[in-house]
Amino acid sequence: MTTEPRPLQITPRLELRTTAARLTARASHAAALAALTDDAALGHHGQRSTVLRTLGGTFHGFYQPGIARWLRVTVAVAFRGLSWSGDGVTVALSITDGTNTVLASDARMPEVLGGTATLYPGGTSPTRMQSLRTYAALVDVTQLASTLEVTSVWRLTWVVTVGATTVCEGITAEELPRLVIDDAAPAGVLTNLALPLAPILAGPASFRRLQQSLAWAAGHVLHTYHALTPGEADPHLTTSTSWAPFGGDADDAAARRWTLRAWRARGSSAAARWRVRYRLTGLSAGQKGYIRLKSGVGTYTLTLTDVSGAWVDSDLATAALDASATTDTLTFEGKVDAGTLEVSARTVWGAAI
Amino acid sequence: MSTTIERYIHLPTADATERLRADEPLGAGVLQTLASNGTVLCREGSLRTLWESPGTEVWSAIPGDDPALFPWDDTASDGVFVAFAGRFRVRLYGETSTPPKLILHARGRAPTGDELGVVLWQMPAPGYPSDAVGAFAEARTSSTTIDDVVASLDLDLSKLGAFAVEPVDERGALIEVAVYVGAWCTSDDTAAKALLSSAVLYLDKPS
Repeated sequence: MTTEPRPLQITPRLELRTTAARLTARASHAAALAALTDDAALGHHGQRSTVLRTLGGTFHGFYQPGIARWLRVTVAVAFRGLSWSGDGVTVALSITDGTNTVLASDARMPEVLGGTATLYPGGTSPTRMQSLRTYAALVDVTQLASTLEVTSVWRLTWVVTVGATTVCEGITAEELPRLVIDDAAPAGVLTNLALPLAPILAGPASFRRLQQSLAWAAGHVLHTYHALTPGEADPHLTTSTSWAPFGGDADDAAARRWTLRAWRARGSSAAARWRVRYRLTGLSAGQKGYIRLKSGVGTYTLTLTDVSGAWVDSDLATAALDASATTDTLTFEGKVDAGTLEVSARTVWGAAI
Repeated sequence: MSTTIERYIHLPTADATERLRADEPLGAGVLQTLASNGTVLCREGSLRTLWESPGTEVWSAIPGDDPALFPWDDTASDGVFVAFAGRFRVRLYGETSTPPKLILHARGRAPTGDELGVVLWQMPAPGYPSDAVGAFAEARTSSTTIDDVVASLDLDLSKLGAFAVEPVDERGALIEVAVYVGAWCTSDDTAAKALLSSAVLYLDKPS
């Protein structure tokens, strides 16, 4: 295994005419192509988990591990009103792959996210935004991968506790780019790919690796399109036996429409995956709940079968988004055979092509 | 000059048709395809959804009807929508050396004869939004039925911040932006409320 730093967070500019037919191939062309490939594969991860402003509760998000090493988590804390009694916010992050779990108390979890460190507001004025303070911590995905299965989708569970005079203004966990190139990783090309006067090689450690790294990037550098978690205390819910908007996700009796930009690099649609965390209550064995996602391309239905009354993760579902227009719009609706369907989190993210 | 055809072209890997297997000629077309693919992946990789919020009802006006004076210390109970959306890593748009455009795509309606306004602030770091160090864009709607309301801000490179990643074995500095979102209603009347709904922040291609 060989690694080298990738300190420059820029995309090299490589004119297509540089390597036009009949022009002389130069070592610098290969070096630039290697840097471009590295930036495509290592520099643009886009998954996240988001918790909105809260006075406390349990929230969730879904994350598909790839080559990113770091999740940067920022927690924003502020005064709730004009007086402060010295309290703060605690955040406990646990992560599961569905079978194994890394608890907030695990030594690999940053202290800020361990559930025991109190995060206090800052600033000099006891007002909301003047007092806002953010805490940042890095979660090492590769360390967690010794416990969690990297081929599974992980669920991030955030337990937020808030003091009487403070508020959590939000939590964001987002992937960071890789800052090193590792030739043992699934993608990444060492920049000494071609040195002046050296032969051009086709082996796995040379030009062939360029192509494989770009193909890998196209399939594994994923973006979160939608990550909403109303939480377990205030979930979206429906008792309708025909398709209807969820309570908490509707305005003027219509399902909310979430507008976003789909990944536009391969045709008129973009592949996506989605998963929800749900609870079905008041249903008998064999009865089901249903949730459907509508995009500009189609309608995708997820059947929910666990009627135990406990919060559970749905199966992983697929969808496609409209990449031919400037934006696409997502709406969610649900129904049940009987009883109540509650949804405490849903995440839609890009899928491998 | 062209750097990409703006579409990813899949080249076969790890089979008998692989273009870069041993003893194959290294054609100009293959290298151009690789370069084009890399560039389009970097461009698209620069763009993503950052945040979403269900919104809320709003009914309070803001000082001077000027979003530069938006009351960021207020809360929903004061009749405005105030959100610190977060600190987000930003990459320049592909090889163009230009920051992406920040879009707030929300939906909403206003009471008859009034407006729903939304404002979007870029700051280099968390702090009370100020045009001394930040920049903003606004949008309004007077529609009385739910309609799109979209604020668009070309991120100002000079008003982006940075943060350090400092583990011993993998370190560097990355660009970030702190984003604030606000909404108000010109009615200034609890009996005449506007609705802000389905607010989504995302990065789009620069203008």
